[in-house]
Amino acid sequence: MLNNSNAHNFKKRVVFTTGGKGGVGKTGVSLAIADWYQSRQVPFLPLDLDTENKALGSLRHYFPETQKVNIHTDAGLDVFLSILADGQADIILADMGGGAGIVTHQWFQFMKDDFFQLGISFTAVGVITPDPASVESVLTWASNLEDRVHYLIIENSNTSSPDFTYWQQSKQAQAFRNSLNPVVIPMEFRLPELERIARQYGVTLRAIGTKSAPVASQLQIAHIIRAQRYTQRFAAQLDLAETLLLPSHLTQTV
Amino acid sequence: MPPDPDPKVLLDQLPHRHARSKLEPYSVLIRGLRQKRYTYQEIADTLGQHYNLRVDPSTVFDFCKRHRKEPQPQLPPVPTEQQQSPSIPKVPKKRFHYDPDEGLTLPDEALNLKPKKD
Repeated sequence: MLNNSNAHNFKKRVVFTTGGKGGVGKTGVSLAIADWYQSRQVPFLPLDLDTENKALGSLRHYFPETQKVNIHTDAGLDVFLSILADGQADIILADMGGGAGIVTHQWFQFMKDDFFQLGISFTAVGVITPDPASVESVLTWASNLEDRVHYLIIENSNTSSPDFTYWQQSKQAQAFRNSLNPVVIPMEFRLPELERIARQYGVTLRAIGTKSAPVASQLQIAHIIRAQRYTQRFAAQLDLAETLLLPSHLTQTV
Repeated sequence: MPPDPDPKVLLDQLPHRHARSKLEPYSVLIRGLRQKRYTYQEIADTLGQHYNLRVDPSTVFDFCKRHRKEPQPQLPPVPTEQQQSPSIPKVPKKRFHYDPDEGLTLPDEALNLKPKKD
């Protein structure tokens, strides 16, 4: 079983992507996690905090119920607490945008003592690619947030033969793994053409794989099968990290 | 024969003597001017101009020299961890620190495996 310390006894959970480096697949990962919640029939509230994200690439494009939130206000991230305290949801899935670092770090620094009392736990989802800048971005967030959150790291193979040397072997990344115990799961390389189709039609790979999306009827059988496999394999990885994605009372019960 | 007085009591009873140097009241000013790189002549001129105090530059020099030799007031000892006031929050030790300016460093064996540029 994958491990991450103290991921228990929280009734509410906020899962958010660490902003910073763009183009690493943050929204794609958010989308896969949202799809995972939906397939398990777990209620969650998607929030799009990426004000710069274009409509076609945003979480709302796939999940119309997604709320857009501008966190660059005096109390922007207080929306987390408002939603959870009002009982609107037990799980928030937030897609952070670039430039969210300072705002988020200051907010955590200010609010850190209140989360525990409110029974709220946070999971920071960092996306690593072979680009060392993606590693630096995640480590910068971790250096600021430290153990106030749990960490789920996605090794996103955005090429067919990825080289994660900087993530796997740099002294700084090793220190991060040793001190903050992130759960690390791989996301296999996906055919760019298939992802482009999904993005263009605003459908998930699961919807293509199950042929519930109308566009699936126009696709080759190989694309359908690939969409099924990609979805199943990544969902299986997320299953292993469920303690970081669900409130404690929902783990192993859904 | 009366007993010898207690030194501490005697010290409290004896009056303060006036400072021997006429520059003593201006010690802060003189020290400040020296830090501003004023010469002894310029300090003497300044004292004469602003305080009508006629003083030779060599007197200023001697005064500064004597004050340099005086022991500096000692800082209070650093309290131990148990003695620290609870009202002063301790800076928690970071569990993980990353300096973006430092960047990522690979071990030598990893560097050797990286393809070399022509």
